[in-house]
Amino acid sequence: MTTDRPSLRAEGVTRRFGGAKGTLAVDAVSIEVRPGETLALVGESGSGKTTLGRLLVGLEAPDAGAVTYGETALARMTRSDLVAFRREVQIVFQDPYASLNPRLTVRSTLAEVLSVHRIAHGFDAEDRIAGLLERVGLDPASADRYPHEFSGGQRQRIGVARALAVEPSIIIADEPVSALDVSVQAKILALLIDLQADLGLGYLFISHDLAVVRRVADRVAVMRAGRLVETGAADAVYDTPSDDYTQALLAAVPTLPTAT
Amino acid sequence: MTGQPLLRVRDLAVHFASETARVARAVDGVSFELHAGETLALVGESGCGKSLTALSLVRLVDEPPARTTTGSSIQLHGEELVGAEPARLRRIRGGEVGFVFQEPMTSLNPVHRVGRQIEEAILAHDSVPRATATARTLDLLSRVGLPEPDTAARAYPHELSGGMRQRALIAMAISCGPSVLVADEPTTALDVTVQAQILDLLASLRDETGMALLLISHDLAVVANVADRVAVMYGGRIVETGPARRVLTTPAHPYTEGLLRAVPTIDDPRGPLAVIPGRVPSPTDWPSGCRFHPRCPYAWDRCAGEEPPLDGGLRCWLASEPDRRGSTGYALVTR
Ligand SMILES: Nc1ncnc2c1ncn2[C@@H]1O[C@H](COP(=O)(O)OP(=O)(O)OP(=O)(O)O)[C@@H](O)[C@H]1O
Ligand SMILES: Nc1ncnc2c1ncn2[C@@H]1O[C@H](COP(=O)(O)OP(=O)(O)OP(=O)(O)O)[C@@H](O)[C@H]1O
Ligand SMILES: [Mg+2]
Ligand SMILES: [Mg+2]
Repeated sequence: MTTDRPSLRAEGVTRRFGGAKGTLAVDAVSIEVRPGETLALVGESGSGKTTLGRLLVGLEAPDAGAVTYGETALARMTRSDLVAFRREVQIVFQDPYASLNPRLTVRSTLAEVLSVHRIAHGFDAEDRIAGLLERVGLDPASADRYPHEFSGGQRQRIGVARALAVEPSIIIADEPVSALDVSVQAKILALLIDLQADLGLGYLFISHDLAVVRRVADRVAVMRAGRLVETGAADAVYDTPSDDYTQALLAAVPTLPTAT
Repeated sequence: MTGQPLLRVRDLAVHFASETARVARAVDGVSFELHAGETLALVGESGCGKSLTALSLVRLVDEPPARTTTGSSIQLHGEELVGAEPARLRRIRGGEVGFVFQEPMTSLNPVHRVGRQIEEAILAHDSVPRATATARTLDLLSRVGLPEPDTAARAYPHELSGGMRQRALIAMAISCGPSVLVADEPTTALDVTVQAQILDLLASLRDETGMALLLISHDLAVVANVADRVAVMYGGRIVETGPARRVLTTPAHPYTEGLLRAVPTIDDPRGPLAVIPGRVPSPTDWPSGCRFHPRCPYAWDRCAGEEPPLDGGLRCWLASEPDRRGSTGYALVTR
C-alpha cells in the first residue's frame, strides 16, 4: 500500500529497570511499524513486549537507542511535534481496567480525548461516541456507565474505542483481543483490518494468540528475554521458523479436537 | 460422578437495579454442580455473565447495586452461602475457595510487594510461622513458572509483566490448598508454553488433592484439553451443557456451533470462519422467547414466542424438531 504516512521506528533501544544490576527488559531492539501494515509481536511472558510498546509511544524513555517517527527522534520533538505525535500514535493497554479512569463514564472518557485533540465537541462528539461504541460491539446506551460496570471483554473494547477515537495513523495494540471470545474477537479484528484497508493504519499487534496473529499479521517478530530472536514475513515465520524458541511456541499451540 | 457435589448452584440470578434504567438481568437462573476432582468450564460471548456467576459464588458482587434474587442457592459442602455471615465468607474466600480474577491488577494491592501479599493470604488462613509462609510463597512462585521467584516476590505489581502478575495471582489463589479453584481467564496473558505449564500445575493439584476447578475461558482449545464438562452461557443463562469433548466436537445448540466455527486455526489462516450476526443484547433487554433467536440462523416463529427449557443439557427447540436445522447455517468470512 502506498502512502505518505510516516513509520514508527525503534533503533537499538534498550531499557533496564532497577539500576545496573536490574532487569534488562528490552535489549538493543530495532523494529519498524509501517503504515498500512500489521507487525505482530509475540513471545515469552515477561520478555519485554509491553516495555517495547511503551518505549515506542514515549511512555518509557530508552536508556540507549532512539525511537523515531518519520524523520524526527522522539527525544528531539518540539512541543507541537509531541502534540501531533500523541494523537497519531495510540496505544491500547494490556490491562484495560488500570488504563481507564474509574471515575469517568465511558462517555466522558471518550469525550475527553475527542476534545483534548480538538476532534469533536458537543453534538458532533455525541454522534462519534455512539458510532465508536457501535463499531466495537457495545450498546451506545451503555455510554453512561462506569468502567467497573462492564465485563472484562467490554472494558477491553472501550480501550480499543478510545484509541480509534482520535483517528490515529499507528496503533500499538497490546493484547487488544485477549479477553474476547472468538465471535466478538472476529468482529474487532475485522474492524481493525477494514480501517487499515481504508485509512492505511499501521499496527504493532502484541499477542499470545498465535492463530489470531497468523490471520492478521503481515510480518511477525518473536521476542525472548529482551531480544528479538526472529523477524520475518508471517508465512515464513510460521511455515519455516528458524529459531528454536519460535519452534517451541508453535508446537505448544493447543488445538480443538475434531469430531470422529 | 457420584456422591455429594462440592458445590451446588441452583437458580442463581444476579440482577442490577437502578433508578434510571430497567433491571439488568445479568445472570438469570443458572444451575450447576461441581464435584471433587472435576473441571467444569464456563464459556460464552463477552458480557454473557460468566464472571458475575463466578464472583457471586463467594458473594463478591457488591449488593447493592446487585441483588441476588430469592430462590438463588449456592451450597459449598452442603453449607448455604447465600445469606451467610460476612466473617464466614471471608474465611471461605482464599481458604476453601481460591479465586483467580480476570484482571489481576484489580485484585493485587498496588502498594504492597507481591511476595508479602501472598504471605498475608497464607497467614490469614493457616496458623504457620511467617518464615514458613515466606518459604511457601517462594515455592509457589517458582511452581507457577516465574524464573526468579525472589525477584518477583520483592516486586510491586506494576513492576511485573501482565503474565507474571497473572501467575502471581494464581500462586496466591492456590496458596491455601483450596478445595474449589475458580479461575476466570487464568491464562490469557500467558504465552502458549507457560500456559501449558500452568494447566499442568492445575491438573496435578486436581489429581493430588481432589481440588475442583471452575474454569472460565474463551479459548475453546484449552477448554477441550482441560475440562471434563462444559457449560455454554448466553444471555445470563446456560444454553448447553455436557461432557466437554461431546459439546466441543458435536455441539447441539446453534450458539455453540457458531462459537466453534468462529475459532481461527493456526494451520488454516485463510479458512472461512462463521460470524454470529449482531451482538449480545444488553441484560436490560433480553429478547422474548429464546434469548438467542434474533441471531440464530435456524430460528422459526416458535423460538420468538416461547423460551425453551434446559432439558437434557440443551436449551433449544431444535431438540424436539431437529429437521429445522437446515442447510443454510452461519454466513462465513475468509478474513
Ligand atoms: N516498571 C517496571 N519496573 C521494574 N521492572 C519492570 C517494570 N516494567 C517491566 N519490568 C520488567 O521487565 C520485564 C519485561 O516486562 P514486560 O511487561 O515488557 O513483558 P511482556 O513481554 O509484556 O510480558 P507479558 O507477555 O507477560 O505481558 C519483566 O521482567 C518485568 O518484570
Ligand atoms: N456493576 C454492574 N452494573 C451493571 N451491569 C453490570 C455490572 N457488572 C457487570 N454488568 C453487566 O453484566 C453482564 C455480564 O457481565 P460479566 O462480567 O459476567 O460478563 P462475562 O461473561 O464475564 O464477559 P467477558 O467475557 O467480557 O469477561 C455484562 O453485560 C455487564 O455489562
Ligand atoms: Mg505485556
Ligand atoms: Mg468476564
